[in-house]
Amino acid sequence: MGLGPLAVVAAGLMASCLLVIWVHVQTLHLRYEVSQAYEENRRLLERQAALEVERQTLRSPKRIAEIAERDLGMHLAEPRERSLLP
Amino acid sequence: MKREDRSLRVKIYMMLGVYVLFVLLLAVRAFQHQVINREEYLKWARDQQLQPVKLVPLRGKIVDRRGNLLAVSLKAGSLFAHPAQVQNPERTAQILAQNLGLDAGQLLEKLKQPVSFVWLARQLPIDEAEKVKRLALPGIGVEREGRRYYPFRELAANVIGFAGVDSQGLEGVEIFREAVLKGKQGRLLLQQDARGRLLWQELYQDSREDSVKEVVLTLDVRIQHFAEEALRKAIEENGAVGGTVVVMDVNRGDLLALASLPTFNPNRFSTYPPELRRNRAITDAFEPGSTAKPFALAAALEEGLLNEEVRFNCERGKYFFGGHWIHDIHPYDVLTLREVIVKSSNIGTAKVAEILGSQILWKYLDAFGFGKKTGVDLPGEATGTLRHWKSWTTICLANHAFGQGFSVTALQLACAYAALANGGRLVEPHVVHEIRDEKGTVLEAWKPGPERRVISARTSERVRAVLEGVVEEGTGKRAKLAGFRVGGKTGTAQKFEPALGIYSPNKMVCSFVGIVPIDKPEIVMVVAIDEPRGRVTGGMVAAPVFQQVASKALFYRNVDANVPEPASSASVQAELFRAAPAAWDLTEPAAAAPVASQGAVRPDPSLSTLIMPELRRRTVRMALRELEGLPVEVRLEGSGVVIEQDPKPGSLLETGQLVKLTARALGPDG
Repeated sequence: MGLGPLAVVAAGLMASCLLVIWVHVQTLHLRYEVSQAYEENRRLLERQAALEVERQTLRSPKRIAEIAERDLGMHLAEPRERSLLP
Repeated sequence: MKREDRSLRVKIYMMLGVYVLFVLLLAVRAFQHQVINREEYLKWARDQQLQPVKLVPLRGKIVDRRGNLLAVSLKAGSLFAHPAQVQNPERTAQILAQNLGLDAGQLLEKLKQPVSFVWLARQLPIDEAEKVKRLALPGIGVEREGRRYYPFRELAANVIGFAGVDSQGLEGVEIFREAVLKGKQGRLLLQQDARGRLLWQELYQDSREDSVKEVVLTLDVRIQHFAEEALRKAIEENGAVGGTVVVMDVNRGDLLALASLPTFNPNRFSTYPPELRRNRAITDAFEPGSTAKPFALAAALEEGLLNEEVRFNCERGKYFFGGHWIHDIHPYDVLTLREVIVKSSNIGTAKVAEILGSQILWKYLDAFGFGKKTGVDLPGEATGTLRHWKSWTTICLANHAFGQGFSVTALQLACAYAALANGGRLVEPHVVHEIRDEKGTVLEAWKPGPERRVISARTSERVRAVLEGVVEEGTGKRAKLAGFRVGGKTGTAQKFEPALGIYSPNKMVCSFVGIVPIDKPEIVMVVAIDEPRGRVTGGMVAAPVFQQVASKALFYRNVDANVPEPASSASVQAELFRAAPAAWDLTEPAAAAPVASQGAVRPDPSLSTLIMPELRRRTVRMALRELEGLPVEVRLEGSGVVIEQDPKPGSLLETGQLVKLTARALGPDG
């Protein structure tokens, strides 16, 4: 066997190794990105939970009643003003 | 040349041999590391790359029966310091103060303490805490924690209770359901590189998520709000020291509202004195006063000893019994048993008790649940007091019949009245409807216990009829509701002064217990006002609270009004139409017919002459419904709420007459 085939085999091995390393590096990058995405997701969920608390605070019956009665001049319907739909 | 070639070839083969040997050595070494010593090296790698992270326990949520969030935990960060490791305390305190808006002096004081660990600030918003973490100040750290929030603040605070800074329940549902609400402490191993950056791994799964529970209460925040607002108003108007309202479903024992005032904001519970945090409806016992009289009535009817028409001599308001004088506020001569309750005669009730005897009266009071816990799923419930009949003196018999000498909680009273209302069954009051997991699957639901019958359904019906009389013609008139039949009983009990051993002449608990609708009971409500100022009664201060809360609560529970409006409004109009037309001056101008202005009951359409109802301020739909079936032609302009009508309210309508309605949508200014 001449040197030529050996060189080809060596180059092939080298290329395979480089490919493996490249894949590994790409995987690593993806793992960093996924980690960041998870972190962002966690942060957004926390933000969502905080906003939900804020939303509930705004839905407080006391606050709504005050706005309805004071600002909008509303009142609870009298029995004669009510009708239940079937 | 050949020899040189051979020599070169030998050299190449030698080098190749060395290379192969080297590769073989590497392969052997790799085999040794990767296969033989695999576990050992894996352990080293894990120790270096995996970072254990302590996860904050996620405390469960508390919601009302409609899903409104009453208590929830959000992530927060607590700031701590290792003072010995802080390099420049002055500068560190300054930086922290600038970033967090804290007092630099106080921070510096903590940083100079001769301790190894000190909390600088607990439960900061997570954004602020992470901002500090990014500063990477030596000796300063951030611990992630959960922080409890109560979005509706004071609303139902005495029921929900609160959780402490370490996320442990301390009062109310928070402590009673601690085992369910307490979150699971989690621990996660995260892979990180040499620079501390996190690397995703498949096991990046928060195991705590499955453990988060949701406690669904029977409370309805809207009814709770109505109860608290009406109670607050009554307390302010009467200068009372406090009060409580219990609203309960008579058939299931669901507590729809449990208001206690004064109250506190659970978001800042530590700034309130402990006495404001108690749930008065279950912790405060008081003498029920006249609200206890229906139990003597129920006992007498159930035992078949009396009926509603038996007459009692009420001695013109003064009666000597058991060595003591018993008085009535209003003197009466002779009253039937029904009237004894309706007019709330102490003397009449004492005479009922004489017929019953101590043993029977005690048996019923005991059966109605007085003197023992109701078993409600809340902490700190008082039993009240009910002494055994064998220890009663003669006057005790009379006292117990009209609500003195024993004490009850508002919740006990609600349960006992629920039994009077629902056909005689003692219900189990409860505040937790069910427990769900994060996905909404019901893990535990409330189920009624075995039936505890106190009186028969027939006796219940007869007692309800008497209680309706109390509201219609007796001491509870202010509890009347438009559109509903109401039953109830007022109570005005002097408070006992334990230090002096006498009843206070001016400290009272004024109460009203109501059942509505009395013909088909849905809710029972107890209103108790503690120490109102002046000479007031339960009918004056507590019954109006019932009236305000019940009208709104029934609306929200979709209970339709089932009786015509009071005679002062629509029904008067109907009565007028039933009267002979000749007796009524049909030429009366429209403005002189005020009774027609409320026109909600449609007059008999068979009559050829009709009255134009008041349609202004009604929605178009309601107005058209009002005119439906009347032999008139309706012309409508606009939409929304009727602002003008022609003819005017009270005008006489002819068959086929044109009725013009002008409507517009109401904006914020009305």
